[in-house]
Amino acid sequence: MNTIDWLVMGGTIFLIVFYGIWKSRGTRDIKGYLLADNSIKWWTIGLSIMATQASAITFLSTPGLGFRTGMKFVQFYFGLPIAMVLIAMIAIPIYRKLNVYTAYEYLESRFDLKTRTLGAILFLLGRSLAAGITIVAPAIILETILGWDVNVLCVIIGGLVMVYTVSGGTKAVSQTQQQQMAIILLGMFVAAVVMVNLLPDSISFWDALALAGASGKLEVITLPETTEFLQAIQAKEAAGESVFWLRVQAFFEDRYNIFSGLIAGTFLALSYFGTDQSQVQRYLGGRSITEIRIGLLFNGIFKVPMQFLILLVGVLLFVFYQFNTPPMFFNERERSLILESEYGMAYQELENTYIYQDSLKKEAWMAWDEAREQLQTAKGPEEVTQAQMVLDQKETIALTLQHSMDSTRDAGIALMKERDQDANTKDHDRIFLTFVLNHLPIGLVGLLMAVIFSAAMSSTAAELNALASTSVIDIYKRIYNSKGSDRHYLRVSRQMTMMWGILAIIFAIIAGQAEDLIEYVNILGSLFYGTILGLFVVAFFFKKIQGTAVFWGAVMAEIMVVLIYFIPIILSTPEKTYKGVGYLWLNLIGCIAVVLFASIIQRIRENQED
Amino acid sequence: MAKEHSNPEAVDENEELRRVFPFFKTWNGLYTFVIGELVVLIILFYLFSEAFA
Repeated sequence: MNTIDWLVMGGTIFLIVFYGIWKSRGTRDIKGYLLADNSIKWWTIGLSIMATQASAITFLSTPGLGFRTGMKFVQFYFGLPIAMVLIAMIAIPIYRKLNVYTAYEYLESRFDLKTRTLGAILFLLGRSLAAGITIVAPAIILETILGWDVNVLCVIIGGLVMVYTVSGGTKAVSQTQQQQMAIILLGMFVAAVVMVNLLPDSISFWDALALAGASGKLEVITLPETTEFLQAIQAKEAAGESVFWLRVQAFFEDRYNIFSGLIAGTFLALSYFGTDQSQVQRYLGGRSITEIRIGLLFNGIFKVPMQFLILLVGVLLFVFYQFNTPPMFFNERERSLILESEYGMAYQELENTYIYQDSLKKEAWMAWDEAREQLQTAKGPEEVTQAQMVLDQKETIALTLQHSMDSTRDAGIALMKERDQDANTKDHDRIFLTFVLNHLPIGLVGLLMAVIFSAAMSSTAAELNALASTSVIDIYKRIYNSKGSDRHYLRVSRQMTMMWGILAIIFAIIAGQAEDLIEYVNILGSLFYGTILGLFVVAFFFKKIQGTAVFWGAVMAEIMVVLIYFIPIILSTPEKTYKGVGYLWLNLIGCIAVVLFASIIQRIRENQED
Repeated sequence: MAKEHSNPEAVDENEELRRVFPFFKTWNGLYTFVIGELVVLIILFYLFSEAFA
C-alpha cells in the first residue's frame, strides 16, 4: 500500500475511535453505559442495526458470492422486512414496558430464572464464538495484504474496538457505527463506480448487465431446484418412479431460494433481531418506542436493496474480469504453497492454459458486444434474425470458453486438494480485495481498507457490548451479587467488556483459518437461534406453557438441532457425502421443536397434577 | 382503522409517528409500506432476472 493509503486508512480509523470516546465521555452509571440513557434517535438505531449485522465478512464475501454464484444470495434477506415488522409490533412494546436491559430479562418475568439463564447462556455461547470469527475473518485476509501476522491483526482489531467500547459502552458503539456505516457505503459506492469506468469503452453499464445475464449471474429469484436435483428428478421421472421425496429433499437442501429466504429467513431474522442481545441492545437504548420502531423499519426498508447492490458489485466484478485476466485462484497464499510443492509444474501449466483460454474469451466477448450493436441497428426481420443468430453464436463461444476456464480452475483446485486435503480451496473472500488492491487508485485503496476495518470493528463492538451486558445483568447481578451499587455494576460492566474482548481475540487466534467465513458465522448462529427464538415464541404466544416445560423443551430442541446438523457431517466419508438440511432451516426447526416439546411437557405435567 | 380509534394507546402511538413522519398516518400504514416494498422488490427482481436471462 502507498503512504497516502496508509494515511487515509489510519486517519479514518483513528477519527472513528476518537469520536466514539469523545461522544460517550461522562458515562457515570450503568443505565448510561448499557442503555445510553435512552437517548438514541431512530436514524442512529437504524444504522447501528445495519452496521452490527454487516461485519467485515459481509463486505469481503458478498461481492465474492456475487462473482461466483450471481445474485441469488439476496433471497437470504427476504425474511428480514417481515421480521422487522413483527418485532416492531409485538416485541418492542413488551421490552419497553418492562424496562429491560437485556432480552433475557423478559424470560424471567414470563417464565422463571432458569429459563432466563438458559436463554442468556445460549446467547453467550453462540455470540462469544461468533465474535472470534468476526475478528479473525478480516485478519486472515488483511494478513496477506499488509504482510502482518494474523495474530497481531486480531489483537489490533480487537484492541481498537476495546478502547472505545470499554470506556463508552452502548453510546460509543452506536455513535461510531453511524460513522462506520457512512464510510462503508461510501467505499462500496466508489468501488462500483471505478469498476464500471474500468470496463472497455465499448461496454456500457447496460452491456455489462447483459453480459452478466448471459452468463447466468443475474438470476435473483430462484426455486429450490439445483441442476443436480433437476437431473435426478428427470431421471426418476423417466424411470416412472415417484419424485416426491426428491423434491422434499431439494426443498430443504438448497440453501438460497425464495422459499428458504421468505420462510426460514424470517425465522432467522426474528431470532437475530428480536432475541440476540447484540441487536436488541442497539435499540433498547432508543429514546422512545416510536424511535425504536422507526429504526427497525428503516433497516427493513433499506437492507434488501443494500444487499442487492453489494451483490451487484460482485457481478460487475465478474464482468470486469471478462475483459481483464483474473488470477486462476485468488488466495495467493495457497497458490504460493502449491507452486513451491511437487505439484508446482502441473499447476503452472494449468495457469498458462487458463490465461490462454482467457485471452480467447476476451476476444469472444468483444465480438459478442459488436454482434449486440449490430442487432440493435438491424432493420427488417431478415437482418434481425441474422444478427440474432450471430449474437447467439458469439455468446455460446464465450460461455463455452468460460466453462473451459472453470474446468481448468477446478483441475487446479483438485491439485491443491491432492497436495493437502485441508487446503483452503474457496477463495471468494479475496476476490473483491484483489480488485481493490490491483485496480483502485491511490487513496481509494486506503479508504476501502478503512471500510474493512470499520465493518470488523462495528460488529465486534456490538458483540462485546452485548456479551458484557448479558453476563452482568443476567448472570452476575441476578445470580451472584444483586446488592451492589450502581458504580459497582458500571465497573463490572467495563471489566466484563474487557474480558469478552480478550476472550474474543483468543477465540479469533484459535479459530485460525476457516473456509467460507460468512456461512460459518451464519451456521453457528443457526445452531442456537432457533431454540432462543422458540423460547420467545412460547413466551409471546403460548400463555398456558410454564417455565419448567419451556426450559426442558428448549434443552431437548437444542440437542435435536445439533444432532440434525452434525449427524450428516459425522456419517460422511470421502466416498459418500451426506448433505443434510440447509442451515437456514435449523432456525425454523429449532423454534418449532421448542414449541412442540414445551407443549407436550406442559400437557404431561398438567395430567400428572390432575 | 376503527379498531385503532377505539384504542387510546394506539391513537397516541399514531400521533407520535405522525410527528416524526407526517406522511404515515398510522403504524399499520408504515408496516404495510415495508411489506409492500418487499413484494414490489421481489416482483422487480423477478422481472430483472427475466429481462437479463
